Amino acid sequence: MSEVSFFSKVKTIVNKEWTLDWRNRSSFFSILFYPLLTVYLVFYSFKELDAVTWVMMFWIITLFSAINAMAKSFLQESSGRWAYYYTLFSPEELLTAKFIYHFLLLSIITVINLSLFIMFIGFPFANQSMFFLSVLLGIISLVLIFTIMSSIAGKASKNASLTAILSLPVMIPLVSVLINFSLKSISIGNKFFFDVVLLSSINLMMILLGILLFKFIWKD
Amino acid sequence: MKIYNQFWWKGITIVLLIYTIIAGFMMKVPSMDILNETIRNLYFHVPMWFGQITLYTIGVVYSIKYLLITPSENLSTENKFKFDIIARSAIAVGTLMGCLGLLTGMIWANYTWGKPWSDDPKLNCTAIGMLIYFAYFILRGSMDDVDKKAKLAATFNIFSYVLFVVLIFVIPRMKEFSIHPGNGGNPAFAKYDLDRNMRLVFYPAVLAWIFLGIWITTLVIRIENIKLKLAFKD
Repeated sequence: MSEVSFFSKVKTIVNKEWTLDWRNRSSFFSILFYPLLTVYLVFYSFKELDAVTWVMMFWIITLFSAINAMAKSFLQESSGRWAYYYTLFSPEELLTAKFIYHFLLLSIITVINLSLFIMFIGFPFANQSMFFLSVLLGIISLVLIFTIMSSIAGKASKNASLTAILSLPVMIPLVSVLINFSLKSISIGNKFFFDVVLLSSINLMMILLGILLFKFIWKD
Repeated sequence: MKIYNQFWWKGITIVLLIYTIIAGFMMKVPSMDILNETIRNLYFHVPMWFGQITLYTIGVVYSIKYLLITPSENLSTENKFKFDIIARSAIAVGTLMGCLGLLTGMIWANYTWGKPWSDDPKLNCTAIGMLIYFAYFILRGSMDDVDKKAKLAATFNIFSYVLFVVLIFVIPRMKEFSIHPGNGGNPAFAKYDLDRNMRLVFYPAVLAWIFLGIWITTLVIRIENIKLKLAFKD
């Protein structure tokens, strides 16, 4: 098996995830439908949002869309399929593929979410590049933490709410860091260095821990 | 005899605890605005957190040990489970001390800040840290398989410990404003009002509460070990 490279295996798993999701289109589109509903609900109840509320609602909706999208990722893997994976992939390959697939999924959700926010409510940011950097770093952190926690929850029980219980306590401060970071991009001239370093180091730490620990999670 | 079964440090714990309570309530404290006599809570509230962090650290060390060490001739499966028992008991007692720390902190805040809970980065981060460890027990409760339970709980514990440390030690310090001492440009007590007399009580109090936490943990571990032995006998 050594002639098959790491990346082609990762690509295969990502393809497989997409094929499975596409076969089950109704649940896939319901994941995309969720931000549409919630953003419209926010618009309908607030009518006009100031920049601070904009940022808070944006991150909270992204967070819950992410839970919705990723909570069942590892639940649908039956124990028979896990056994099949052991013969084909290493834990690093499976985890990387899950990270990449979830990142693509959450990127689509965030793009939908963001365009709806801009369409319904407006775009209050002067420092746009910094805002998009905060969104990028933010969704990477969300993806890393949710993927790891949903793998633990998926192995522990067939209960989708366990993912939320395990990851939400960690998410609360992360979202508050993200809200602070995004708020700074409302005006030009704020310092971002510390936020970027903090988020990047959390991401790096999660990747390292994930790769080190996933082999204990995936084996029964 | 293993050090955790020896009597001497338990004796020290008892002496130090009695000293903390008597000296903590009797000795002279600097009179300060707003704080007044509530400053005596320093001997109880702050050491609780020291105890909690110590116990969580013990917990994460044994979680790592559980994951890394495989059963062999020197180490039976039964003995491997003992690592999990130590980790779980340390976290349980650590969470108990955390609850006591929150409780004493809330009593203190009620008299100095006017209400038991304010919107403060340090308080919020601590509450979140507690939530993470409650989630640890929910995770354990959601599984029946003992082996799987120990393994997944150990991995979750490593993740949560790392995030807990980041939350407790990094994020409160980066916020610009905090009313809690030692954060956001606020000087800690040590800076100006922890005078020599208070140090004489404070340092023994820290030792006393940490030792008490470890002592309770060893008792919990002994009970759990007996349960494990019975389970393996069946």
